[in-house]
Amino acid sequence: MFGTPAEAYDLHVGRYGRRLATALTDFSGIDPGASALDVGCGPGALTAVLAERLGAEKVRAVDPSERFVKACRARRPGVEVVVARAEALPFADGAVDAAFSQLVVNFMSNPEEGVLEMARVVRPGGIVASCVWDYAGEMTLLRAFWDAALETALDHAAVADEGMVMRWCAEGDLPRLWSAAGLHDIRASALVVNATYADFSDLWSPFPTGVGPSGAYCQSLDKRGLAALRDRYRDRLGVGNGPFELSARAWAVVGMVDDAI
Amino acid sequence: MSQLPKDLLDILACPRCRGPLVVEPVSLRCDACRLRYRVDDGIPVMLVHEAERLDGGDPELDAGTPAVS
Repeated sequence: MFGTPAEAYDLHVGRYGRRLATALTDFSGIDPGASALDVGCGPGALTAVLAERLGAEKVRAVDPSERFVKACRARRPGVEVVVARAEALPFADGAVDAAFSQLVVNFMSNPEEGVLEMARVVRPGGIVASCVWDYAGEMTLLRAFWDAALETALDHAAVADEGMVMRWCAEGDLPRLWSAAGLHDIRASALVVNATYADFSDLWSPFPTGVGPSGAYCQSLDKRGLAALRDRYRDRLGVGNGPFELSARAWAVVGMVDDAI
Repeated sequence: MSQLPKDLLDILACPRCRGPLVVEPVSLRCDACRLRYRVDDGIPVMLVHEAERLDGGDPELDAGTPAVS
């Protein structure tokens, strides 16, 4: 999905990445001495926070996109980054103390298998932690985008709206997935983070590049449709030429891998 | 020798069978699956569909059947 350059991602939902990564890492309760794997690292927002907390040599990261792997490695020296899919992690059983994924579960081709794999590579007693956007609710940037898209082209937008097509984005979805993967001591929480924008153009700039499902949707529109969507989106957000801030809610979960018997 | 650090090699496994890998100069080989994963500029590319098929490999591989369900 994110085959486009890391820079476009950074300006899109990537703008929330670092704060969300900090919140997820705090919520997970990971020990400072632990080793960790970042599954679906993208350009490395969570990888960076994990490396700062645990030491770069304790952190591994994987992503199926070679472009993102190269971006992550260039930005996070010392972290070993490997090209791999979540559903087929190239690590031995129990290889790390913790596995994380940020905003990735909905992009796995098989989330049930992906979470089982994350649990497999974590040692007994270690943790698996993730978060997903509240696409249908309080992820303002994307919710307002899809609401504007539905208003300007209902039939076309209805089949792309991330609030509808993302399977794991309601409160309680991730804990159910974690439970099905056999994880224990499951805790869930809402994480709310903000991003700042210089003006509406600053927010809009990555969309026409095609980054993410919302960018791909923009590229599916003709020039007039895109202009109508942009104007409706700006009106919905109620923003213009001045700076503003948006908040975004994610659902987070952490669970423990069974202790060896 | 591969340029990959030892602590990474210690935990890397074949993404198809989760078994051990043989370190080659610019690749990692799984003898069980008869697959060779390239190491591209220090980055292991551990994708089964991009791995080189070696002689005697599992014919089901190209049909896309996973070894582990």
